[in-house]
Amino acid sequence: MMIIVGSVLFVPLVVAAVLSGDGATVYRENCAACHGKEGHGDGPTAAELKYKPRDFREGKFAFGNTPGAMVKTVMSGIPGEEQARMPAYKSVLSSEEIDAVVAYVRTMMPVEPAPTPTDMKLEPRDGPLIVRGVLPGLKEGEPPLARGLLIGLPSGFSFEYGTKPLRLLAVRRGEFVSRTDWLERGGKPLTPLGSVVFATAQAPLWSPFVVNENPDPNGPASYKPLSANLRVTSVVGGIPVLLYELVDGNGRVRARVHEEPRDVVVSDGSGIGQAFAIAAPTPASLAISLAIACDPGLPAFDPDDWRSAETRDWTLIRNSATSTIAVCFRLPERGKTMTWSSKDQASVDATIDVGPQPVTLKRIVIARGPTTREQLEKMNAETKELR
Amino acid sequence: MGARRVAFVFALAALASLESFGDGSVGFAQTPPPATAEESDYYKVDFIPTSPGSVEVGGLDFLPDGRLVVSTRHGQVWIVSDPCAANPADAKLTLFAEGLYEGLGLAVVKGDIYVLQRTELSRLRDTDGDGRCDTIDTISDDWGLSGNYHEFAYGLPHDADGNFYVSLNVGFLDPKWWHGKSLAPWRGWVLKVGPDGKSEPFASGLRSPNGLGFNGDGDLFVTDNQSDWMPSCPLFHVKAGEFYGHPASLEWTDEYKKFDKKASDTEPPHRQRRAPALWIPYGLSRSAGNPLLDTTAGKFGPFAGQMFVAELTNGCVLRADLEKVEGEWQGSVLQFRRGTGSANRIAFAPDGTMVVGLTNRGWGGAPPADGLARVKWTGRVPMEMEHVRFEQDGFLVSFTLPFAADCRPTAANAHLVQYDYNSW
Repeated sequence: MMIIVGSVLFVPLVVAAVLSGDGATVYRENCAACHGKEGHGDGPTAAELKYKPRDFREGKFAFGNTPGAMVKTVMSGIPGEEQARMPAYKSVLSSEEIDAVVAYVRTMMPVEPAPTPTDMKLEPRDGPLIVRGVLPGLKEGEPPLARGLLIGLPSGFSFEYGTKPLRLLAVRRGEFVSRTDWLERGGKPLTPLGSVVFATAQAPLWSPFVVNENPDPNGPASYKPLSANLRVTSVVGGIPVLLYELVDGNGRVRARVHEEPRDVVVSDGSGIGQAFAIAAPTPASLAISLAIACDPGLPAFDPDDWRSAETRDWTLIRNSATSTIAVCFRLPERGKTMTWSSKDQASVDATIDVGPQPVTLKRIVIARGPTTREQLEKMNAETKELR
Repeated sequence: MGARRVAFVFALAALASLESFGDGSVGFAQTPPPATAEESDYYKVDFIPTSPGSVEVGGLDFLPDGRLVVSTRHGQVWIVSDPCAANPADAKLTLFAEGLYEGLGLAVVKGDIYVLQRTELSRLRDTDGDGRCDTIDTISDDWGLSGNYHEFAYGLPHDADGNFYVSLNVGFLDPKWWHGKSLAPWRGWVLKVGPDGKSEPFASGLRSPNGLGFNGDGDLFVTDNQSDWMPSCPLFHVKAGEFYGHPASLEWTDEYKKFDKKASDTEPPHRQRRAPALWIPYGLSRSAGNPLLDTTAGKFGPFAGQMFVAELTNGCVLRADLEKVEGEWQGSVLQFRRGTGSANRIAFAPDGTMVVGLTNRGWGGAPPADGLARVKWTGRVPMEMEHVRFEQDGFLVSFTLPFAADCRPTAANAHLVQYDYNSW
């Protein structure tokens, strides 16, 4: 690239009419005057410059040494005082020519190791893996989430969370994740490799927990939202665990939650479950609203059907038309209500009284799961570890 | 200006004199010099074998048993056994943790490993004793992220009261990426994180502050990387509430928030910036890493109590010798050891070996691009400027060794270069 020196300033602009995308030609006609024929920083105009042009053999690129960073440098130049800056080439060279000359300059640099797709791919083989990073939007056009967390299970299910505040966003199935944030300077989104099979309805900003601030249990409820602050991630005995605090608007910790995201395999299908254990430093009345939505590609629930499909203390939501989906909530508490907010979203609301002793509740979502009472009984037996 | 300005020139005089290092013009009273003095005669550099590209170092510290702990930009933490073995191949790396979001700072405190991820300060524990981390405690995540790729978090020094210090990079947006932006709270700031996890904004005005460390007096220092508002890489003494020059960070102050005021890319703010202890000459440093106090009490040579600074682009380690003048730190900086590779982090092993953590992915720097280097003192004292002290009528330069009888330094044969950076 050319650093500006007096009358030399306009030379590259004149000769830059390179029609070819050949990097060597672009380089010779635009860059070699300063950087030298072989990139040693010793071109004929170099001596007139305040700072020696970059010697590409040294690999010292103050504005980045990756292809993307170098393209940016060529396009935008390097600002600075006279005789010390590099002009911008975005209006001089085509993008193909810029790509070509960057590729050519890279042949002069020390070889930089770059991770391969195999290097970047993580798979939970011997137990769960927990990975933090930027998450891409779940739907096209959605912005990335800067604070994300993935929990991959050996079964192929993976749970996708936002961490500030903590909330479940989706469940995927398939391969786990590619650490595409290992490319360039970093900071790029991870690439979850599985397909979304379940997603929380609208990725709520707040956790599904609210606290009743009315001390009178018989009075009208006065619910305030609680935010979930992640405190611990761990893997204990092969089970991933999230510990988080439910904090009110004043920053006061109202409850602590131990959550285990699990995979569930039953004879009629498989799916995911979550086990929650909730304790509060001082007794409180919490309301929980757990919602889950199915991937649009999966058959929708029949909102009129699930209401009659309860058994024992499990509440089943199923699709009777195709017998493919069951969503079960197990809530030992009072005031349980269930609602549908849309055709493909099931949710349950309940009030639970919590104190120092943990209260447990669970949610299971099964694909191709039980649809009859007998099948549900069987699932209850087979998934007892979650209860 | 006064003393501060003079001290600036004086630092550069020290640099200029370095150019004559090894040219045979100085003698060694204790040991006859080699025919041609090489840096390796005094400080040897070797490399612990690692798979290329796999260990991009962001943090270094030592466990009480002498094993080295390394956090990387890949979000991994490695434990290195026998890191100072005579044969570097005998140092063995074992994966302790993975899945973190970068690790550009690491500290071992009371045997526990703390890692600074981009998103949080974490404590990593192996509770079942199988050698792998199984529990990660979130100590603090009390800073903002917009999702911009350049929002790195750097650390991780801690003080006697258990406070950690974290510095946060501003974001770089296209097309004028050189105008750094503070897109989320406390980008461009140093944060202080208490032992209870509560954080407070500590100082502002930083750009790409890739290195924090304490000096022997317990004062905190931070380096920054040259570019907008930073004409050269500085070493700042960080004081609570002070502003160090990059305006973007001011947008999170009450003064700016109250009026929804935006920092200018080109006009200096009304608030006066605090001068650094050192402007490191551009040729010496373009990407400074962490400053490190020499606590080796002579195991690393004659510079105990001084500071070293990692330098990534040029692939070397610098030496900074500070003194306090009228209550302000200032001093000299010199090239110390070249050929280390892209030095991002430096730390001292218990035996006085300096371990150098390397990485340059996306940043550019002298090879090797990643891995671990070691700098060991050979026991020979180099003929170096040991101290450069500011006097009312000039500088007092002391050397590590006496001059040879036939060599008399005079003002006439001293070579000085003055640098002047436009930094408002």
